Amino acid sequence: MRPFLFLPARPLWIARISGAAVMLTGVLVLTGWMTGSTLLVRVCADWSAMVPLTAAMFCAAGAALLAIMVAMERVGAGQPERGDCWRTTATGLAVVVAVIGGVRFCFHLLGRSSGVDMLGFDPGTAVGQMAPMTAGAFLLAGCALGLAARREFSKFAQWLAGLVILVGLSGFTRHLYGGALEYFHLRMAMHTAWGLAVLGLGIFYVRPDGGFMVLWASDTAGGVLVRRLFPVAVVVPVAVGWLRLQGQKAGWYGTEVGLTIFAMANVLIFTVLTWHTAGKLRDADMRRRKSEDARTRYVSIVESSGDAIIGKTLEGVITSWNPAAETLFGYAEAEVLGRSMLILFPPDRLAEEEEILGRLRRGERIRNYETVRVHKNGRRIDVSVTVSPLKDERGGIVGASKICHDIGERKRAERTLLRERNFSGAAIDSMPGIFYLFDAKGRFLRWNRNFEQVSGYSAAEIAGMHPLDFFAGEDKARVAARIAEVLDAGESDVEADFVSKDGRATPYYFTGLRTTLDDETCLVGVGLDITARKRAEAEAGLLTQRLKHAMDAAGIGVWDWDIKSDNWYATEMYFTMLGYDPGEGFCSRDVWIERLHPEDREMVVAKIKAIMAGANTPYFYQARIRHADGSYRWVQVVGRVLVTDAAGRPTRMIGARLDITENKRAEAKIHELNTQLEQRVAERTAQLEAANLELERSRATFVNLFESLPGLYLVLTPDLKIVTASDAYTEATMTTRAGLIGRGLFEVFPDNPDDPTATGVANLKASFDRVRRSAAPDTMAIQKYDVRGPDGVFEEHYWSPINSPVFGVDRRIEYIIHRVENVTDFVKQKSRLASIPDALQVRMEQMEAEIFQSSQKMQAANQQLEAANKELEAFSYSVSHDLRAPLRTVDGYSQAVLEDFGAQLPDEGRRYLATIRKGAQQMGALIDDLLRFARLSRATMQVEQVDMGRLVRTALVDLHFDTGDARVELRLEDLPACQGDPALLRQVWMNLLSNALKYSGRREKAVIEIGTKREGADCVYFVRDNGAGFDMRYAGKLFGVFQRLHRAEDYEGTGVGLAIVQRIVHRHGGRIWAEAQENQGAIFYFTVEQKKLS
Amino acid sequence: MNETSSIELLLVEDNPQDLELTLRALRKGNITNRIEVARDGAEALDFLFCEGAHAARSINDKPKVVLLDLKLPKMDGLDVLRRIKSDPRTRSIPVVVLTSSREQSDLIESYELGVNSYIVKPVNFESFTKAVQDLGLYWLLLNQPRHLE
Repeated sequence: MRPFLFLPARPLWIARISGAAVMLTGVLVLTGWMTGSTLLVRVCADWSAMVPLTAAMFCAAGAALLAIMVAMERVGAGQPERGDCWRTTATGLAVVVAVIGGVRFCFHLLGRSSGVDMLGFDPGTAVGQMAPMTAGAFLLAGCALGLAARREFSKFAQWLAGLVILVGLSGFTRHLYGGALEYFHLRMAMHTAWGLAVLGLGIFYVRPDGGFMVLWASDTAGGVLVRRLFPVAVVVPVAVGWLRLQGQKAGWYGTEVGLTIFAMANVLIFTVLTWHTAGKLRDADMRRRKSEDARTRYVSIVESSGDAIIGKTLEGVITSWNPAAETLFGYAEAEVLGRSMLILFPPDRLAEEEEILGRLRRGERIRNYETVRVHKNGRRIDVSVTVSPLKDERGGIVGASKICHDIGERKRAERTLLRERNFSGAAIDSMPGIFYLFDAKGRFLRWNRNFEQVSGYSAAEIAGMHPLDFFAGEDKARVAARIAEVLDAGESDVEADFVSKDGRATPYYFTGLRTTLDDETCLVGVGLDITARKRAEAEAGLLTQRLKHAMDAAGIGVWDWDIKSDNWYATEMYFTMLGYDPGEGFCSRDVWIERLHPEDREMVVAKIKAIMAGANTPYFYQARIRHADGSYRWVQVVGRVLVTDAAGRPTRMIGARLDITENKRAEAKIHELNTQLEQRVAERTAQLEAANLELERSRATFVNLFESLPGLYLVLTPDLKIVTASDAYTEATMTTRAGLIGRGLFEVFPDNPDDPTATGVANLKASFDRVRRSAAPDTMAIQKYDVRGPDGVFEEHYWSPINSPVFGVDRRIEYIIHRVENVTDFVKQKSRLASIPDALQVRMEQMEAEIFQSSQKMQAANQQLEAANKELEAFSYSVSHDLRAPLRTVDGYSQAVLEDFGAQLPDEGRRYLATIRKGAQQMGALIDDLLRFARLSRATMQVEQVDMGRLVRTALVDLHFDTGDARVELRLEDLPACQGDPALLRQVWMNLLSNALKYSGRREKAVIEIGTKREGADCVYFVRDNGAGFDMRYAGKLFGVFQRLHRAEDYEGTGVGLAIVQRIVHRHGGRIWAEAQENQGAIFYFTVEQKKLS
Repeated sequence: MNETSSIELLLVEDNPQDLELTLRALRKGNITNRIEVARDGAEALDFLFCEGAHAARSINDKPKVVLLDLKLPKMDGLDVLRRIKSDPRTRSIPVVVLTSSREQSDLIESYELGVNSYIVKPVNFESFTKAVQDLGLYWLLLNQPRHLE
């Protein structure tokens, strides 16, 4: 609202300017007095001069007014000390003004002149006197100034200031109208009058908010009226009075007329002014009322608003609260006014308020800000908040209005919607197959995650694809047709290969349902992976195929009989197995029954009848049936009821037929064979029984034979358990066979406990040990061994036992036969005879003892010999190994010297080395021969039939004999075979032949003859040569070891060869001899004793 | 098989002179490469079964032939032969007994144990050389070992 004030309402500057103007006036006038300037003292020549005292008083009053203003300014600026200082100054000056004014006024009342007017001037100077009204005015002004500094006294100060103004105005008016008012003591200088008025006005404005100025500064109608009418009320009557006076002075009218004019002018002016002002006030009033109406409307709107509308300050303090806010937040208006908005904020959103307030301070508006607030009961409320800054008339932001709209319902709806969406999304996504929704143009609107996973396309890619993009080849057209069908007819499905991004095709079953979405026809459906089903189908097909092949291969014909309709279907094999044409697979039961063998027909019909009657019997039979060629075949039929009716009677049967003619034939054959076998078994059993009987009989015979042997025989196991005994033995030892069999020998025959010298058990045990160890019979010396009679008394007995082993198949001792000679009588008789000195007896005794001793010695010698043999064996082994090694060293290193250093050696040296080598080699040969010779005596002979001719031929090959050599003539007769050890006999031939070749080697023409001659019963083999021969005088030495009849230089040799030959021949029980003539040749004869070996 | 490092011939001989002569004979027959010498039976088995000092060897790295003396310290040749022929991993290695012993029992036992050749070292060095060279030639050059085992 634009102010229409005549005077400013509360400008402090009026007071300041007034003070300054008054003070300046005083200073100027005083200066005028000091300088004698009439202008400064009087202003106009016809005006009265302002007395110096008045000027000084103006100075002091103006200063006081300024000091008050400075003091107030200081206090306002927060410097109360300096304010007090200035106020004290002002008060001081005010007191001076009041006192001087009061003194001057009092003197005037007392009619005396005071010296005050002349203060500071020469007494002779005509300065005039201060008018009494002026003095009174200063008294009042001083008091007003003194009071003006105090707020509580501002009203009095204003009263006093009003009087000062009135005095000033009176002075002015008197001056204006001319001297008629002289006696009122109102004569004063014109500028004094103005100064007083200005001073009064300044004081008035010291406190524009206090006293009368409250009304003056008020923007109410009263304030307006005062500010408008007051100046007019002051100026108009004065001005109109002056004009009337001027007219009267000019003589235009008299006093009465002039008064009338004056009164009428005043009436007119004030009436117009009042009317005008009232109109203005009415307008203002109308405006106010209008705004009040608006405000009322606003209030009612706010009060009735469904949204919470809250007013608050910029500090967030609640200033208004509408019923909706009460409803929304639960607080009553009285509860929240003056409290912080923060009570409505949830703890986690307190920072929001700061932000909101910050934005408000910047003048921003916050619209539809969705957030959460708290109800009085702590419940959180979803709200949409709009906050607008509130401005005052001057546009300053003084607060904010906050509108909170409850969006809880909307939020709940949103959440429900979201939940629904999530649920349907999850439902779609969790579907096992793929889900799709596309419109008639083929644009995908919705699909599930599975779709993306299976297809391998991203959501963005699918959104730009057409449904047919997922199919290839002929599927495309098929699927397109089905999609069209759905859009047309409303529903369809299809099986097709779904092609994913990587080109993989998977069989899928797709469904489609027409639906309308946003006025658009769409197709919604799912696709299911049917790979497993397809595979199963393929496998089932394959299985059926296999089953058919298998049944065909097995020759099984299968039939399926629908009993109700009597439709009988059968596979091809069913017919072909019997040579019939399969036809259409249907057959007639009657025809087949007719084909059954007459003997079997009844049985089969009975079977069928039983099954038809619902009997719980297996459907199985074997029967003969006619083949297409007229012959009968055996078939086996197995059937099973598949379906029965309510009464349990079969309505459908399935079964199989198998040609078992071959089986039947084989069965018959087996049966026949079995019969034969049984017969043969019976025969064989009879034979075996007969044989067993025979065996038993012969065993019994042998047992009888053994038991009735005249000798004393006891058969033992190797651990000396009695197996059996001869009757003679039981008789001699006074035992029975039953008392012996199965018992230990020494259990039955202990030593005689009464004979401390008894050695029977110990010696017998030792003998058995020897038998077991050596596996050879052992003969014991005569042994005293007492036996117990039936009465338990030991009888003295002497025995001569032989213990012999009996070997089993594996060369292990199976039994030991203990044979004894009862020599008790002999010994007893001998001892009886011993008492008679008889030479013959003594000799016999001695001889017997000698025999016993020598047999013992023989046994010991044998054992020694065996040990010696062992030693010899070790010795020869050692010789073989250890003796030859150094020889090889000698020979080898000599050879090495010859090879590596031969060139550096003199001929003599080489010859020596050659000699060394020769010696070593000869010694090697000697050792080999010796060993061979030594081995001969202990080698076990393996006697067999020997082809002597073959032996000779192989020996010749071994000797590298060249049959094509013209220098040697070999005459080889057919040689009879003999019994002997082939390896040893071969050695004989080797040695004899090598000798023959060696000694005939110097002949022009060597002749070697091999043959036989008869000499009595003996067959004599011979080898003849025409070589060097020998002197028969030395023939005796011929077969000794190392015996040589020729010099080594002439014929090489070790002198062992013939010794070996002799030994071998002797071991064969033969003879060997030689005949020779020096330089004529030699014949070596030998025999192999046939009869001894055979 | 790594041809450069594998041993083709294992010579088991305790007598130093015989050893030298055997090596000399092999050398003269130009059979010099990759010969391992064991001085007793235990050492020979260590080599063949990759134990002891020969633990780093692979048992699959078989020599082409073993020349084995019978009279050996610690463990005699027959025992070595028995071990070789009774273990499936070494059974396929040809073993030639090269001995001074003419004893029939040694010969029989060697053949019973599965020896591939039995050669009596002759005293005569030329024969000895020839024997060694022949057998080296045969077993190393002519014989096709059984690889399938």
